[in-house]
Amino acid sequence: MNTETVDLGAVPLARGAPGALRTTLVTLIRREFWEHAALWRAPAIVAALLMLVAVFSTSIAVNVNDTHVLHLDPATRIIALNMTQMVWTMIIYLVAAVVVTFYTLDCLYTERRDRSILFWKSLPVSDGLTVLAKFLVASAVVPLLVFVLATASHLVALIVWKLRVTLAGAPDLIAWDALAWLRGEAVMLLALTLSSLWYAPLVAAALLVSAWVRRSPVLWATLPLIVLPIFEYLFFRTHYLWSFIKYRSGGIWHLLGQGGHPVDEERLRLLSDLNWVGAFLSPDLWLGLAAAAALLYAAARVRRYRDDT
Amino acid sequence: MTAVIEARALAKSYGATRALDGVSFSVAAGRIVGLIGPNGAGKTTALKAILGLTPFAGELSVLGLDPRTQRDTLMRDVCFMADVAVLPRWLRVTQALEYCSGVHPRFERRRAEEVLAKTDIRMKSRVRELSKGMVTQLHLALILAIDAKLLVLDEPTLGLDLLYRRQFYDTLLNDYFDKDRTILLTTHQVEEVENLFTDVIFISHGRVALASSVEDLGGRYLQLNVAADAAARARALKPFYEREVFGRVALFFEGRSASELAPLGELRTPSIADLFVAKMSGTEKP
Repeated sequence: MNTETVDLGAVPLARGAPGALRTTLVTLIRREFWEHAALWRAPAIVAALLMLVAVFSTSIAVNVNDTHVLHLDPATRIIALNMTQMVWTMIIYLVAAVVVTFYTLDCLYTERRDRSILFWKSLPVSDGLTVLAKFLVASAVVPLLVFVLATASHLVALIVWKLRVTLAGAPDLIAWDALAWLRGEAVMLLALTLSSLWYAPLVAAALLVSAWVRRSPVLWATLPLIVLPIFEYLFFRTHYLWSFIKYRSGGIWHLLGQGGHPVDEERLRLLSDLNWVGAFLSPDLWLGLAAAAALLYAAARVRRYRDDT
Repeated sequence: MTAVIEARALAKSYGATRALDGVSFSVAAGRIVGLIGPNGAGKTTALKAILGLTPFAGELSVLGLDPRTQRDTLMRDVCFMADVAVLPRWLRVTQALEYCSGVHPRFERRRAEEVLAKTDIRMKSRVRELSKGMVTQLHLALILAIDAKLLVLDEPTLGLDLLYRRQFYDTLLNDYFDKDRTILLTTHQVEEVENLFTDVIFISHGRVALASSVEDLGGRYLQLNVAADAAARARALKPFYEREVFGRVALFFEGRSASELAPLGELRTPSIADLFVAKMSGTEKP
């Protein structure tokens, strides 16, 4: 317990007492963005580029079927609204996912390589909290950032496009429908949440590799995924490992289909009738989360006594 | 008074090498203890054990806590600084202050800013833009702002020039040290800091060769300087080490009285550096 009075000085008031769990966690998370600026810069740049496309793109893209396009019926134009929402979010998400992958493999390795771990460990922050903060950055903070960036940049692009329709006669492809838009946002938020939970064991495994290996964590993380299935095939003529790897890394659309089948094109397009309850209650999802917890615990244990500085 | 550090039979091996081989010592509050030993003697391993950075066998209590199981609590009252290069290069000075303020309940930001104001370090700078000496100044500023009970320094001035070294220890002594604080320090530059120590622990081959307060050293160890041709009589009193410099012989005695030795030549209390060399070289004649 921290009972001493502290002079807050120039520190923002909402920060709480130093050393309190919440303050520590917030500080640890901010620290990650200081060191790995790409975590916010890369998605922000992509969002900005997407907006630029909306501002500067010409109608050339749609002149193939001009007459047809210009007379889209309202229902299709609302679907177009949802479609652009989804594409927007997915593009930013994919870029963020690449950055996060390298981040998770790098973060606990670099601090040992540059010996800064001795500085971090000279302060009263437990290994568990350190690992947890990095996991939260990868699994919660960045996905949330992706959502906010996608929503904001998509709205700006919509407004710009509408202005172009009114002022410059650009084809009116998208209809604004508040309810459909809200539903689209909800679907994106749910999908991001679901993928964060689904990929949690991969994030945790990457952190463990990062805390463990003496060099080249990227190689240590990827090579077994390629070599072990090959060995399995050579010795047993089976593909279990490969199927498993494909299943675990192969996204959430599997879960969202009905009865274990992947979502078909049509359903994906309409963004409706996805099996959310089934997805969030899937035993595989929860087994994965249990594995993630175990892997995170192992990563914290390894960091506790990793003695190669 | 309870000891700040109480170590009993610490042992730790790296493969076949015994880094710590039954090390026992105790450190009282308000002392500045020099942990001195040749390279690979086990100094850093002992410090790592105290800081809970490495597993080991034996009994160890630091501020009444076991660093193996209670490290997270312990680190609220312990501060440490390994050699200069451990601040991450991407870190900005302001971020370092922000970070410490956020995670350390006993970090006083204003204090660190005061210390930094006396240096040439700019708040916007990143660590990679600072000179080695400035990085140490920054790290020291962070440490001075933490109200810790035990400060552990492992070769804190390695690779710094004389001015920065002198300034480092002056600041440490004048602005930090008081009777409630304890400092444990390893360094190779023993001559430079020996006036700082209140206690010394010599460690060699993973064992404690000597542990004593500095004031007790004078009573236990004596150095006798005699002309080379008069050394034979002094040798009869069994010095444990001798060294010849410019035709005079310095003989080192343990447990002899001053009145016994004084008639034979010039008597003095050995410096810690000389005593270290004498103890480490043992009784072998050079």
